[in-house]
Amino acid sequence: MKHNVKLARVEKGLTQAGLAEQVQVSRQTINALEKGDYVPSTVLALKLADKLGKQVDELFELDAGDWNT
Amino acid sequence: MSTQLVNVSNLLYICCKHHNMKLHYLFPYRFKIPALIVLIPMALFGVYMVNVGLEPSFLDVTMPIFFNNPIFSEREFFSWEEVNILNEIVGCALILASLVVAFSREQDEDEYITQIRLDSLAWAVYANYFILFSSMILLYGFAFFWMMILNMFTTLWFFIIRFNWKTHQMRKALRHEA
Repeated sequence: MKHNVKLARVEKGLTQAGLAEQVQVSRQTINALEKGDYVPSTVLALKLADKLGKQVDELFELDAGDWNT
Repeated sequence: MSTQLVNVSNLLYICCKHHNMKLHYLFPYRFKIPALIVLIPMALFGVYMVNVGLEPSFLDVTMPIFFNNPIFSEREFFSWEEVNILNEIVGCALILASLVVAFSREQDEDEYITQIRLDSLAWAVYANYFILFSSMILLYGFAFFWMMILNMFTTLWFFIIRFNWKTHQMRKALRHEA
């Protein structure tokens, strides 16, 4: 899955720790998510979209490989 | 009727999500270190106890036995017998301490940690059954018996080692990036 979380976070002027606090997860979760090591739950994706002022499908996008898993 | 059932199941799902039900089976974080302090010496003592065949006479107690199947006599249901309970004490303490260490919340518990916990649990079960599978083929007699005894604990121990190693690595990587 492709995502624009880092870009949207930087646009908002937020640090990883700041965003983590707003969406009630640890900083390592945001870090893992931005590195592509972790795919968030629906609830976290919705929280991220809310706090970053984006639609979920603006933040997350299916990759061609996602159809082959 | 089926629509109502679907609505009820949706409602249950939403309630579970809102109450973060998936974390309810975890012990509080403050139990983890005390349980670890019990677990490590108890595991070492357990190895020593088995090696020297330790059975102190003051722990010979008459216990209710639900079912007994001795090698050279008849099977017995619901009897009372004098047994040495050191094995039982150490075994139960090891299981309880291992469970608490394994299933205590982390200080920074969230959905990513839950994911690592799930991965580690699957890994530990595979590792444990790989060892059991190998033991069935390679070990015989008492060697297999002792491996079975050890196998009662190793699923939890493999899980504890793998989960803590992974979370340690994750935190270390984050410290290096900061």
